[in-house]
Amino acid sequence: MKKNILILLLILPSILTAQDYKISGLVSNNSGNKLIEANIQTNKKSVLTDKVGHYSLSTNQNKLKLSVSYIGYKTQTVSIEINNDTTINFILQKKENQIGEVQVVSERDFEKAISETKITSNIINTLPALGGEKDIIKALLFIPGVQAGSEATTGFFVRGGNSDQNLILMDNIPIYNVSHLFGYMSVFDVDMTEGITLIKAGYPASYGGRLSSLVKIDLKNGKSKKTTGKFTLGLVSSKLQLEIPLKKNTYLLISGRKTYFDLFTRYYNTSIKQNEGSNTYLSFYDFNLRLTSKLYEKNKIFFNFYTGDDKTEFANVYKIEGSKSSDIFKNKTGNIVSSLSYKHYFNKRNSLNLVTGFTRYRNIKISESEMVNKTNPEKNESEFFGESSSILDYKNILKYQFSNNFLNTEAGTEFINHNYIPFSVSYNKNVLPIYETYKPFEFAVFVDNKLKIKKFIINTGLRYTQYHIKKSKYNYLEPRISVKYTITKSISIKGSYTIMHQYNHLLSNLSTGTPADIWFPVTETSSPMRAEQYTVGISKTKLFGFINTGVEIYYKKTSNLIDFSDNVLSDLDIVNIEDYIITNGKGESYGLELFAQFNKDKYNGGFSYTLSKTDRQFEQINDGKPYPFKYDRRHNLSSYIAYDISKKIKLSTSWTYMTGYALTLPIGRYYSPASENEASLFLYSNRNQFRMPSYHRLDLAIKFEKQKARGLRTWEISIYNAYNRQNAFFIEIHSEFRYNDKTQDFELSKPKFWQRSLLPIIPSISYSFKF
Amino acid sequence: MKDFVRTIYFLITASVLLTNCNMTKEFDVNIPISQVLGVYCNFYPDSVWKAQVFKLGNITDSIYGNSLLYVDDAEVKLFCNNEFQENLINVGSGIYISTNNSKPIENKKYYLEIFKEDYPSIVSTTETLPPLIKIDSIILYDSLQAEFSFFYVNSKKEEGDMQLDVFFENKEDLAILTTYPSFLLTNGYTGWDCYKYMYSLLKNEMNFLINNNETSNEFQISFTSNNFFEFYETVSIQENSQSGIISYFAGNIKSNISSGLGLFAGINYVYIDIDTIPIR
Repeated sequence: MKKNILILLLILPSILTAQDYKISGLVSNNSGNKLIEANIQTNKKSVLTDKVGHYSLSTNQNKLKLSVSYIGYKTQTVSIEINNDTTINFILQKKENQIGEVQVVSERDFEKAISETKITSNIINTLPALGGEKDIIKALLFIPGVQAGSEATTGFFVRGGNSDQNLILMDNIPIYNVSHLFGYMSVFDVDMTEGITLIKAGYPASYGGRLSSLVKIDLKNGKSKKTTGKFTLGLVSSKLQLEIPLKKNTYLLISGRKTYFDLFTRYYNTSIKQNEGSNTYLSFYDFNLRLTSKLYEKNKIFFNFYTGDDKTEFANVYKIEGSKSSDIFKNKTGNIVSSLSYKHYFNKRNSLNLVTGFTRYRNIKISESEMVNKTNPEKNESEFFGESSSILDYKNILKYQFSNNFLNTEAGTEFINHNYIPFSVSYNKNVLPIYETYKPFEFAVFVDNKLKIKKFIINTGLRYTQYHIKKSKYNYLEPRISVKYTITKSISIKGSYTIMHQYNHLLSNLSTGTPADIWFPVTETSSPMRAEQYTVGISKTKLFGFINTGVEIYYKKTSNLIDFSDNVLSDLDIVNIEDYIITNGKGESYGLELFAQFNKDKYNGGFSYTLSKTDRQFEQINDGKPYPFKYDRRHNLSSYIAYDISKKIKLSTSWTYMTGYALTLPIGRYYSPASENEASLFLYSNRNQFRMPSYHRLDLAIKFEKQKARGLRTWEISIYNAYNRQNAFFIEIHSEFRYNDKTQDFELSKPKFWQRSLLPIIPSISYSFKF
Repeated sequence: MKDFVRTIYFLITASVLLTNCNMTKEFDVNIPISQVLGVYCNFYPDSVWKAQVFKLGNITDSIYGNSLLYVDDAEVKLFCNNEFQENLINVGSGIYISTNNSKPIENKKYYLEIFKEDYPSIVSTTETLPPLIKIDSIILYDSLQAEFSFFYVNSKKEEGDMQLDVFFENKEDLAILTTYPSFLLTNGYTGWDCYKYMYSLLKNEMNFLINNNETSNEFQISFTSNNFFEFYETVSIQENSQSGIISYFAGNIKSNISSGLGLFAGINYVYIDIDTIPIR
């Protein structure tokens, strides 16, 4: 006993004076991007990096092993010997061919991925694509709760919301039209992005203005020490992307993309205009410019510029008795988005972010008719009709951020000046257009706190918004609450509650992104739309050792929705557009979402399933009774698998299934007093009483890569709709002329319903070279 | 070279596949037959009561020949000022007429009730003859003076285009115009041109664009109810809407027949002979 006490007394001083050493540093990737919530582990404890990639831990050991891991990156382990506070920075290397990951977050934060999902550009480049054109927006369709509109379109619907209820941000600036070629592809170049992030619920308080989702396009920042680039030749368009280091920590990224088949048809069309016939001209282009610079250690500047346009032209030329007539229809749709962002780091915990920028969308339609009489010029005639719709927003954001190991705080303010010209009409090339302008102003103040207490992470946010238009003012408080509880290391549950408001609407009868789309602001006569959403979910990582999975249920209630009234022609009487809009609609949607994702050996894949129901209700439609939303698809399933056959050959496949969307069909026929011999009037069913046939499709892609002396060459062959499913695009009713053998004459058959499909099996090939 | 050959082979295969795709097929949908009756009855000051009764046809029936849709075994009751007036009698082709030769009278309120076995009965709204608004004067121009709508501002004058300005006697009559806001301008050959009253109450005139190229120089201005206008407006929209994706917003014809289809409306009118009006 005495001996033990003596030993204790001898070692007690050393115990009492045992020194704690602090080890801290930054964790980043080889692009220079800080890795948030990377895991740093010793044999006794582990910590996570904060929002700026910084970690800090204390130890009383002189010799220890430090292990750093982050999903998608190779784990680094170092053995160190320390005698004082030490700074150790880590630069992690990406795992090669990291495909199949829909959720790129650390395992510990995997449960955050239930409502927030990130898809990297590596994954998007692996997925099979229509015409071989990789599309960043279409990749969202692999996330549960996200549904497509019509075939081959970029309109998407999140948890029963309309396509205009998604806030799509490019470097914090919204972009209003994301479609090229009537929705065939989106305006974003995958090669200029790191990926895309979608948030369906539990939104940070720093974002607002849309009801259904927040989509952030994560733009690339420069990293390369020498000029690199990539060019791609596809069947529809071709593109070139360059990254140029200007000086230390300053990079310029440029990309351009354009259709090229129009260059050939333009020559052909010129001939047609001189002679009789019809011609069609379709083209689009995109141009991106991004400048990133790090000024000293504590300041970063980002400048971003995007412009893109779609041009469509249809022309008919015909000759009649010495005169030539021509009818030409032209359409031009496009965006310009630009932003300047400045970030200052006061220290490792505090930073300030200032963003200023603008976005402009406009859509112009021109119809010209001309008759030229060569023999009698006095009889020359011409007619002109032009209409356009445009939006111009100026946006400014000021945001302060603070983070330590148990608290993350974000607070700030946002100002947006809107300038809407929903419709502008001109009947003479030389006469100024007739239009009405709306200039609302939007202001918001927000604060967000994320607190870690033991196994809980509690996120409380509040956003106060104000909207001014003419003499009206709307202001709202929007709470954002979410709670996460970690049951075990691999199982966690989460719930959230959100209120959102939206101050504009997209009036469109289609999801294709057509010239018929008009963005219209909330005015004095229509209230802002409102959504209230509840979600609960549970997730598990490493099921059977390699599957990450989760399930989430949601309930969303919306109010003050708007829609077109019945009996609206596609070619609207736009001067009286408010006569065709009905307001004060309600919506209700609820559903269950399942997903699973795995990454094992040479296989990567994912699966998502959504079971949902969405209704709408307007007093003026369906006698005021609830009716199914057009895109109320009961079942929605998406899956993909990628397999590395070898280092040079990669195979991927995806399969999609959706319940058909709801539609209104005629259920009876009767005659009109104006048409004595034909029963030409229809009696329609209740709104959206019927269903289109189910939609399903298999896509395949195979990639051949070869490292050449100057870069990486890739051939990609893809097949869209591999088993040639005739998915219905729309339904019509008509009779057909058929030859009757008995009467030996043509006769009109009884009317039948016909479905028309848009896209058959489409193989494609593309070539790219990365240098 | 190998890559080039591979590409050519692929493109040939692709074009063969694409040209063999059939993108239209029959859509099988079960639509139950609905038992619905309808009636068309326009009544004028000097015409005997006449109504035509029909039923809704199957959507996939032939569109030609309405005889299958006429109803000749219905009971058609006419009411005046909420009192039963008479049963209209069937004379074939779905037509029912008054055997008393009774005609509509101004300031009296009328409605129809129609019954048929196995069909829900239908009832019209209560309608009257619109009062005749006294015309003060008429001016005829051989050129366009007013902006009829944006679509006519810059269009060239066609041969025969004229403007007919009709001035009404009293401003108080304008109160009637807001209740019976639709006007029809026809001549015997060109059919209906339906205008909705869009002018402010500060004006007491109506401007019509007419074309005198037709052989008939007699025009009729009719005063009708809002139900009449909405019926024909929705007929025009439905007939002009294209099929397929663009027809999303085509809706049902506006009808003032409860639980049924069709139209019951009164029409009052004046004739104008433009040959007797001096041109300015």
